[in-house]
Amino acid sequence: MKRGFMKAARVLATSVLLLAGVLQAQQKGPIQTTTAPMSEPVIRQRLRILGYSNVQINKTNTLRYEITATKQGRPVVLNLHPQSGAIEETTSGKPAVHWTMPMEPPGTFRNEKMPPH
Amino acid sequence: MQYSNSTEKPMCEVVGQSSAPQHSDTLCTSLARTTWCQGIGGTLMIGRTVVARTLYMLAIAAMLQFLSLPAQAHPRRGSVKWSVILCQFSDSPAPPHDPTFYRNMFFVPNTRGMADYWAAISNHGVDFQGSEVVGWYRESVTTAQAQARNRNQRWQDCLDAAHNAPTNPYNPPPGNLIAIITSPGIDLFGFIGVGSFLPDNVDMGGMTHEVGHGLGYQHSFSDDPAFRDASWAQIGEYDDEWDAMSWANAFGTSTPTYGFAAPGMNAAHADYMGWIPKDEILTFGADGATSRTVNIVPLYGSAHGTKLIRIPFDPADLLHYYTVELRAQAGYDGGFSTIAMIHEVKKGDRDPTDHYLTYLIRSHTGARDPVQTLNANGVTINLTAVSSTSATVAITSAMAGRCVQGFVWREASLSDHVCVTGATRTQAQQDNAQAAARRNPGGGAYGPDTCRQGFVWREAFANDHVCVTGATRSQARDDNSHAAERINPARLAYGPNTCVQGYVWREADSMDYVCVTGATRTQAQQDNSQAAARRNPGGGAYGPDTCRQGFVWREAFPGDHVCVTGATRTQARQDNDQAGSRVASN
Repeated sequence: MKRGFMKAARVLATSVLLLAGVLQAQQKGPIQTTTAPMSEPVIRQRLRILGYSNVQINKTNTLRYEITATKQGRPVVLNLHPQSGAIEETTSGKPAVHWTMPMEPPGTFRNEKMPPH
Repeated sequence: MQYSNSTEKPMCEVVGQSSAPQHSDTLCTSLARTTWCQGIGGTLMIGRTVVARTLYMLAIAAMLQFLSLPAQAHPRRGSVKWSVILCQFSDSPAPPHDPTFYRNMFFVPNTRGMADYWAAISNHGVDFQGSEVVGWYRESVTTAQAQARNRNQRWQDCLDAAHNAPTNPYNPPPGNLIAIITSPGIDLFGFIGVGSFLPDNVDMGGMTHEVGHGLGYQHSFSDDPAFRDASWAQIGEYDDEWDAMSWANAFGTSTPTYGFAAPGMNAAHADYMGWIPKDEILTFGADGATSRTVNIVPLYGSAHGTKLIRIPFDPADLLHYYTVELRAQAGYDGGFSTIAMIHEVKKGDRDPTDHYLTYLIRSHTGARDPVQTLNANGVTINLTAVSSTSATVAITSAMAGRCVQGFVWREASLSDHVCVTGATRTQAQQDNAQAAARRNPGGGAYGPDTCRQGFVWREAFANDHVCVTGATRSQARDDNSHAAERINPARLAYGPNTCVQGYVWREADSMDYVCVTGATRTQAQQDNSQAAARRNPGGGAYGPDTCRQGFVWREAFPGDHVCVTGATRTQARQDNDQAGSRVASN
């Protein structure tokens, strides 16, 4: 048991050293980036160009918007991917579309599940 | 405390969820299992987890290092070669577009795609000649498996698929930037200076943004401390809706084929790459002015005039300054109303080695519009008469009267602004304090200001009769003789492409910010002056620009048909290759 703890201590110490080295190496490597989620003014500008009016936006979290609008006199519910800009028209009460492309932040991608849709 | 094997195994698998080959995960899993199976207690569980995580990070770091190609920083001019690699997963349906679609979207001019965008934004400074689109290649992993993998693995999987393809295998040529497009899309990110990872339905804006990263751009910011676009973003990050490097949080325009296109780059970003001609940039105060009104023209308009004003205000950091630009509602800027804006360019504070970033100065309340007046850091800026053709910018700044770094005003009198070392100023203050004691009590040959034995008048300025040592007077004379070169740091503010010591801009044309020796610049000027004389009078195989015998096109930049010797052309190529390493801020 004692030997086990000694090993564990060695492993921990080595890990800390390696971790420090890795963090330093990562600083020198290429920086990862992604596109930004659109803010409400940008969403409104985009929807206006696409012919939507009476746009109502409810931001449920950073990456999720509930949007209702009118197009050619017809009320619509919009599913918007706030990074890719993909938009799908749906109807009220229908489940939100499941985007293939995740909306995930850089640096925390490891084994992360997509946010629920 | 003991853990059962039934508890242990799932924890091992958390690290390597996928059944697909995952080198780092496999290694991690096997090591973790080894340590566990030796029957070590609960503490080792913690150790094992740390080992697993550490090895995982090591694997990522190794890949990052592998990807850490020498990034061509700035200035950027000429052909930027991209390898666009199209990848499907083992279960992907037919992709929505064939390679020709992406070739047109990315490289082919006059398709209202990327080639046209970057030609417009770079002032025809860059193109994508020599780039290629390859694929579709099929990866061995399913879409779901790919989604479970990390970004480095996703990147590498596509490269591996291209490399190992049974037909038309492909390896990106060294030096090429890389864009990976997957179908279906599973991610959207860029590696700064390396390339981009894009979904098959990527629009122009997304592609522009990530290609921008590939070219070396950072995100744009604002100065609003209350704005945070996403949980992972920095304060103010992505908060410049008028700049492509804030995409998708930017005002786009609709294109016929490729979705929404990004707006142009802000002026500081365009300047960073050297895409604004030198004669369209005004560095306020460089001429000694402390107050001036300037008319500017739209950054992306065809009218010639001042398109960027740099206003340096920090003698300790000449790359820290304000910029002013006008963006007219036209072209790629057609998605927003005409607007004039002020940015601050300063070093980011994300870590000690952070880059210089652009910060839009905007109101922090209400509609958060870009400010039209600024009073900060000894600078006032007032933007008025903003129209689609011009804007009026009134500026005041005391920078022209300040000392360059390492010097301070001597202040031997209240109005003495000769720049000296700190020690000399201290000496002047001490001498002033001793002034009365060093005068001869009874006056003398020079009247009541006659100095005691061993002292002389300082004569730092007219009628300066403070008595000092001879050495101090000599110092004052010497300082006076160097006054002009020690004052006004704005004279030395050359912007993001400032050369390192010993180099100057080649200036083969007004957008040539490649740093060369003084001799090479002189050569370029001489060659330019001989351009007409070295062309073959009757033209020739290369048209009217055909050179006389013994001369070749210099090709210092695209379209550079000045005829020079072969040695000079070789020199130009070598200088271009070295351009990034000779810029102070790289």
